[in-house]
Amino acid sequence: MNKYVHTELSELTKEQLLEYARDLQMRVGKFASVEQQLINIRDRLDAEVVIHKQMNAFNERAFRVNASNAFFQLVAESVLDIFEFEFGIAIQYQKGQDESILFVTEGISIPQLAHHCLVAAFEERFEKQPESKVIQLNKADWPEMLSLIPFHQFIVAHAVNSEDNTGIYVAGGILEKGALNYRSIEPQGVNAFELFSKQVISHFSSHQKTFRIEKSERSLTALANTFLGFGSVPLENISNITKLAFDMLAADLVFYKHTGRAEPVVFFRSETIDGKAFIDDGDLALFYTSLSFSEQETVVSNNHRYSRFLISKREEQNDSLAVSHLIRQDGQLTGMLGFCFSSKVKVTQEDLQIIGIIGSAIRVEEKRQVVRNSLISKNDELLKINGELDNFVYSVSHDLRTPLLAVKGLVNLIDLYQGDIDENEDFFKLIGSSIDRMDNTIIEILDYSRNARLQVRPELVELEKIIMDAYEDVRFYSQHPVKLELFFQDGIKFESDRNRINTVIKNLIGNAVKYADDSKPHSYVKVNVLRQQLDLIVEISDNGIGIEACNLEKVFEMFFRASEKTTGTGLGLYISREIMVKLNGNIRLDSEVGQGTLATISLPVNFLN
Amino acid sequence: MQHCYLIDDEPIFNLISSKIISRSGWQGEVRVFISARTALEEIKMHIANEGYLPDYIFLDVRMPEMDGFQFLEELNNLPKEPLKYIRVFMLSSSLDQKDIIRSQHFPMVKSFLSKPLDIQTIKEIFYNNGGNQL
Repeated sequence: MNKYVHTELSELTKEQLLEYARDLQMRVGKFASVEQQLINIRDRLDAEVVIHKQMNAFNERAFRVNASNAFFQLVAESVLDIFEFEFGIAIQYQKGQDESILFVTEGISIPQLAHHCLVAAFEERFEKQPESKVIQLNKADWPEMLSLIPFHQFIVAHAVNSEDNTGIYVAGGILEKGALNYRSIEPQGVNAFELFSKQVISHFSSHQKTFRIEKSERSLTALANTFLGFGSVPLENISNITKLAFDMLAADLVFYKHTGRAEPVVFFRSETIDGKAFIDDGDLALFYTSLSFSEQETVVSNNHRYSRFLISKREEQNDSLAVSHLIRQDGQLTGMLGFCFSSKVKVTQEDLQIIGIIGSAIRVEEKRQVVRNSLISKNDELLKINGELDNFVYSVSHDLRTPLLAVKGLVNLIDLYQGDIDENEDFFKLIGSSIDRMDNTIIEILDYSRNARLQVRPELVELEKIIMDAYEDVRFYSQHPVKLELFFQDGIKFESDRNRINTVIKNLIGNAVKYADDSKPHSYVKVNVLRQQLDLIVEISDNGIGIEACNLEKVFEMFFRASEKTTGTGLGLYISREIMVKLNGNIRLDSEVGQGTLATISLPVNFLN
Repeated sequence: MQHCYLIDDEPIFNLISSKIISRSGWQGEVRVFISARTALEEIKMHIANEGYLPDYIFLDVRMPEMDGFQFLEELNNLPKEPLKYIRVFMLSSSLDQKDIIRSQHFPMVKSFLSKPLDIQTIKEIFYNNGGNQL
């Protein structure tokens, strides 16, 4: 279309020049009208564009990105876009430390050092500025800034969040750069910037708030999940967490003074860890003192029945502490769960509720541990009983088989010694005594089972008769005569479990007879019955062979036989002690080898007079 | 002359065993112990004099104070050479598998027998060079 572009104008004819001029004129006119249309459109859309951009700049997604960088970049970019500034700055700061982010666009980047100088300059100059104030500056107003950024016009808005001592600067301006410097910021622009800045600042504060709440909720929820997910979380993990927390606490009760963390610090103390039964008031007082709280600020109770919270502040740092007291069903304080929040974080009701949930969860867990421990000890007990039962079955079958096998052997002998009447007579006698022995074993097993199985049934006990009958039953255990001497305190009449007492007396008198000392001319068993306050005392003494000191306890063990002298089952004293345990009584043995044995029973009974 | 020890805390089994042995026609000397310790003392006493040591020991497993296995351990601790002709036969009223396996650790144990001893077993041991079942 433009056929003259590559031609020197001097070579053109007058007509050609005129034609070219008309062509240019037409095109300029066209551009002008297009430009005007664009301007019109821009003016018309301006408001919408600004609003749209603002919405975009501060939509939720922008905050969700979570890095505050993204937010400040958006602010800085918006300053450029919306106000057609040549540079945009957004700075967040915290008193005493700068966490500022600054963006300059339009091809200018500020080096790190300049950045810090800028922040310092900002702080020095604007620290005392009121909230949401927009200041318009000319280059003469701020010479330090000029050395950093050659700006023509510069406006800045500043806001402080007094709650957590954070603030934000939003700034932007026109650079002083020769040809680029073709316009200044007009008053409407300043007003718009002020509005924009206020919006940024209010967004910033609410964003901060939301972000902080979200963050603490997230971490607390994570903790709560850890504690609440009992179904899936292995018990060891829980105890590891609690142990770790306790170690922290035990290492230094004031550990959290030195942490200075933004995250809540968890600590915990529990009865299961240091073996202490519970935490008493003294512990509690010491604990709070050691944390040097200025005062107890709030006591909050919530839906969790056994939680209460003490929010206290320490003077120097203004950190706060939320403590959930772990209180058992019976009201006993068993532990404390505490979360420390640094001064940057304000503890909310939601935080407290989550701590309460965790506290409840820990209590549930503790209960579970207790139940689990009792199950474990029950299991151990059952394993022991099972082992005993195994041993029992083995011993019983052995003890039952032994006389039976003896009978078998004797029957074989009778066959082998056919015709030898004397021998056979002996064998038949021995068969008889083997059968008696087997019967005795069965009776003792029944005694044992009765004691284990049957309820204690108090009834009138005719002890004198029981002693006499027992003696009659057992006196022939020994070839050697053993004499009974009975001393019965007058007027003793009582109720207790007759069958069980009968078993014990029979066993003890039986032992005195069985283990009589053949070498002594006058063997005896003395029984002394008396009352001592609320207890019945029965002393059974003999001058038999005695029991070695090392066996005095062992004789009460199941199937323990101390002597080779007779063929006891090893059950008698075991059953006797079991019976005494059942009757809340006591049995003890004193003995000296070669001298004799004294068995003493003391038994609480229901005296009838 | 050969010697045979019967060790059982139950006198009735010692009686049965000795009666069976005497009916088997064996001509050796039978000695009866109701305590494994006494039997052990006896062996220790005769250890220098092989002629008095037992050729056969019938040993009960379950005994108070010193049981059959404790007795075997003690024997093991004595000098091996003089005791090399001793053949031990365990006698038990319950053929417990654990006991049988345990007894196999002692080379001098030749067999693990169920009580009571009978005439066929005795004849096999004394005359047919039996008892090497283990």
